[in-house]
Amino acid sequence: MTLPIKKLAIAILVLVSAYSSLSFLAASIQAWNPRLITHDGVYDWDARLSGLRAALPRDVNAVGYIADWDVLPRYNYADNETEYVLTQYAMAPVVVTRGAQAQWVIVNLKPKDYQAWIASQPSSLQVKEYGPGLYLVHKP
Amino acid sequence: MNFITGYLVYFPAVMAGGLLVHQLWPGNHISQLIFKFGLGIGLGLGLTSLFTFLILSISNHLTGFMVVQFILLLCALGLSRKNWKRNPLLPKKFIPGRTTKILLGVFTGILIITVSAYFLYALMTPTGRFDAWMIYNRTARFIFRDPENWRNTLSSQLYWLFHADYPLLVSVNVAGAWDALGSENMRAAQAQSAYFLIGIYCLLMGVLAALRTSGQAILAGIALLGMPVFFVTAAREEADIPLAFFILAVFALLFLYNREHNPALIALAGLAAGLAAWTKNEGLLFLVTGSIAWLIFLYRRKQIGRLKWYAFGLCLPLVVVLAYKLFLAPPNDLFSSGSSPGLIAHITDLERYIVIVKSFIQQFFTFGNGKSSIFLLAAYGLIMGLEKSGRHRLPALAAGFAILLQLAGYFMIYVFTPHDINWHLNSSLYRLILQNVPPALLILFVIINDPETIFTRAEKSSNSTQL
Repeated sequence: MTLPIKKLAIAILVLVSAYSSLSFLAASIQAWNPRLITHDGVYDWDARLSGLRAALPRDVNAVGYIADWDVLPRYNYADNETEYVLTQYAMAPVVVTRGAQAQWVIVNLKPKDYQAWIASQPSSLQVKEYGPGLYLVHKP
Repeated sequence: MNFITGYLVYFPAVMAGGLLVHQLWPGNHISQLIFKFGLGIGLGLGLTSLFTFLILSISNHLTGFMVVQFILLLCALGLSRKNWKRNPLLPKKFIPGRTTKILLGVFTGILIITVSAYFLYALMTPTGRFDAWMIYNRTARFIFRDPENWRNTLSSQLYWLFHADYPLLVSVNVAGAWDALGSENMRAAQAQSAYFLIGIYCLLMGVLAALRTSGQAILAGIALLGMPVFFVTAAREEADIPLAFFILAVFALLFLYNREHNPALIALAGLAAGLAAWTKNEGLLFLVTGSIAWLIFLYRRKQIGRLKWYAFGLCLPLVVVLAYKLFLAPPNDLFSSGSSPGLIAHITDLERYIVIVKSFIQQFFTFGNGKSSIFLLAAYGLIMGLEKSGRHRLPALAAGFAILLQLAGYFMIYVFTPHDINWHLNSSLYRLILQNVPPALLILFVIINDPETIFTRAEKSSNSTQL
């Protein structure tokens, strides 16, 4: 390659990198949302579960988890999976396993679906609600 | 405030790493000092994680995190003081040429723009992205919130997406930082990623300035700035940035050893390879491929006996990783859920290979989240042409072969994966490529012509035309 082409290649490399950086800055400015500095989706889910987590006895190291995918014939798998992993993140160091086998179970269902689910369970269960659609179930 | 304390909490390890590397490999040229500072970031944080984990395993306490950092720093400061005259820390005078000055100005301008964009993006990503909070910060929470029962984070009952078997370099340091700060400061996790990103720039530019020219080093830095995906991934707290750091470190040390023949550089490479395996599961594959690169190199140089230095550097992280993987961690999801008939069906499915090849090719043109790409850089290399001396040919071939082996390993993991292939490729391939881009950039910029040569030749030819 001749020298002018090599010099042009250096200039293009520099210009493309500069353009790339400016595009990154423009995209970050465009997406700017100050609420996200302290309140992203993960934080919100953490806050939603904070009362329930505080109420769980300290010696419990595993809980069950019931959501749409356990009770409804049709559900959004990705949403259910995301809420499940967010719940595990919020509940750490307690291990959250799917199903209702554990002595303590987190139920994440809309009130109508919850009523249908609890009706199929033994009447001895103790339940406390921690905000809309979030229940902690204890098998005495 | 969280931002500042997030950075400060790792500062002793970062400083200790750089000072210790300086003791092992003397020299105070500015390029060497930049490289050693960069290498020290990763090695300091890596050693802190290893020792904190060992103390946690024995005592079930996280308090070792700050103790380890200060012990490392005290050792480093003591050695620096002792060797101050023989091995000074202040840089030799450096007078940049005209080309360097211009490129440095351009680099600084682009860096300011990119770092501004990074801060905006990082501010809006306080808990990192999916992999960060689900794998690394979740593990850190298990350890920080209940250090007595920290082994619960390795429970085989955890859903496979949590990757409970992943090595703990990142998580242990995040948990240790939270313990030192007294709260779950999410910016500490982000700060650790940022330190590793700074380390990548220092390694890449330091080694190129040492081996080639300052202009070539700055151009490589500019090329890397053209791929904002590195800054985005650092803000997201994903462990691919630390792994990219260690992969780059192993190869950068290979190139430096080719020139300096200092056995300390081999030992440092062994340590970096071991820390790669302590960072992510892909690091375990790199432990093999990176070691093959050193094996080939030392064999061809008829210095195979010097592999003992590599083993010396590797032994501590390797023992920890092996003990962790063999006795503590649950099985990996890729290998535990696959049945033999399913595996054979995957291996014999031609369609699967085509999907994977297409995704790899797509990355060649689109990787980087910006306007730059691997294709563009390859074209740049072709235009610039190979430098004439050929003295970096053997390490370049050895490192290039190792990167190809690493990519081949990733390719086969996609062939074997029991998960949906499209989901698996979309969610991870760009990060696997990211791990290998800095070392590939290093190889490219080591072997091609530098801007100083181009502009000097241009000036000479213009002078001769005038005459």
